[in-house]
Amino acid sequence: MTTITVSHLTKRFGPTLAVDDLSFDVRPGVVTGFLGPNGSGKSTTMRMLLGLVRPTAGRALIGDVPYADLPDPSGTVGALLEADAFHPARSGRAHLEILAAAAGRPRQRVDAVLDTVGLVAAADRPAGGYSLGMRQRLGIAGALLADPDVLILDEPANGLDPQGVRDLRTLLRDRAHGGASVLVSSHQLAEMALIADEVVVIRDGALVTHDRVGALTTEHARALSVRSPELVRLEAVLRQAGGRVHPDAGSDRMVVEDLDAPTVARLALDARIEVHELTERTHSLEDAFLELTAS
Amino acid sequence: MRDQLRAELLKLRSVRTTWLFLAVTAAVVALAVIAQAMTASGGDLPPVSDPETQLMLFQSASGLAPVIAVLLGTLGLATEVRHHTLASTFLANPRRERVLAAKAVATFALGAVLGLVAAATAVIGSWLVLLVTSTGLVADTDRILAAVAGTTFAAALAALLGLGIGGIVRNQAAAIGAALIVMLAVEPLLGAFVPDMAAWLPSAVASRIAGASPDADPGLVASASLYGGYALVAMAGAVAVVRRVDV
Repeated sequence: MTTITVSHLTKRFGPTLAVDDLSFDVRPGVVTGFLGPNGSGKSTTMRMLLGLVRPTAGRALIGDVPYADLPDPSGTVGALLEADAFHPARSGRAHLEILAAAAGRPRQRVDAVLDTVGLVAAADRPAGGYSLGMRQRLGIAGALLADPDVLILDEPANGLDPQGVRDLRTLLRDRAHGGASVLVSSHQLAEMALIADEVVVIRDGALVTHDRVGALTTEHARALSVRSPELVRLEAVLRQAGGRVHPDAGSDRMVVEDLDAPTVARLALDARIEVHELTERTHSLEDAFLELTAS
Repeated sequence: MRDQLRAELLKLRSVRTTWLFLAVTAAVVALAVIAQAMTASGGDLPPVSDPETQLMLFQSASGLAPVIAVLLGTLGLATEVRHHTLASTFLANPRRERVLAAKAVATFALGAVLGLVAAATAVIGSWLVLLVTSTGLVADTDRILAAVAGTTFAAALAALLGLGIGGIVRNQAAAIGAALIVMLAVEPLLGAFVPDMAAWLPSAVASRIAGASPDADPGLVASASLYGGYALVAMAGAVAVVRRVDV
């Protein structure tokens, strides 16, 4: 059981502040999504976690130590940073055999992970000819090679077909349920909503929020859809109670903001107004994300 | 460290570039032997029956092998930068100086193989020339053997020097360009303007080790130490740069 801890992490590239006093942690058993617009510092944060980029300030720890001090780094953390990180003339199998040798793992592990990601048929072809989806699979295979407790994956769903995304989701869930800590970045928010249990949202390198996916989508679901035959009277009552009301012209429906469903129901009951429908318009993670990261 | 060395040797074996370099080396040396033999038969050199001319034929690889080995060495790190594989290399082994040590051993060995291929090509080519021209061997065989051993050792050190240059420059094309400019322009110019220095420059001491000029100053041990020193300085520069760089 290994927790990832990011604490007051800061990275400056010359005048650019790429990561700004960022703190969060990734617990075992949980798939944590890492969201942010392009250039918001997700990859830099992941690279600092992996000891590839030197932080300007703050700490990034795997368990209790920096990545470089882990006794068995490959066996502790599996990482995917770029889909294109291989020599194009090497076969997928040769690429993985090199990683296995460097990690001190037997060659049989290569066959096992090729099978896990469904790349056995293409394993002996030069990786330069792989499709983006196959490259991602090769990268994921590399991350799984030493059967690590922690997975750090940068945009692993990018380029995968729907089946590939489903397989990835199952894989990450299984890993998390087995006790692994999983940090996975994405800008494919719909998929993230299905893959992740929690999300860390950053903007301009700084933390915006860290919450459960469910909490994030309901917290930002303030709008209600209301249908009533006495729309005009209900509108007046709700406005008086502080609600913002947007009638849908030509229909018996309106959208209500800043009041929750129980309040609207009670106000209607007190005023003896019939209500035919009262629905929370659940925002998607995408809506919540766009709202949170709007600058 | 042993795992990393295994990985580095696998990297070298699994790409065509390595084999292509060895094949090109053999081809270039073979051409050099033919060119020398033709120069001798054209009268611009003493005939092939002359011991010094024969020795020159057998030493055809001495100047070439270190130059090609430097270029091959630059690829050790620069190729990883180009194909973004340095990150996964450092993930498996976050102690970057150990990665560089493993690369140094693998590159030294590869350079030695390249030097041996070059020297063997020169020996076989020269022997064929003697056979075709029905000339007996009159060259000093000790000096031929010294050239084979020297070329192998010089190419091994040259590859290490190239690895260091590649680590400092990191961009593949720039590393090869920098190595070529130093060997083909900077060193000859420096040698021309400061003749006292000429014999002490990297390419000159490399040729000296490879057996090209036995009686010249600096001596063989001094040359080997000096060339080893050049390679070590380049490697130390590479370690300093690579340890700090964000990947």
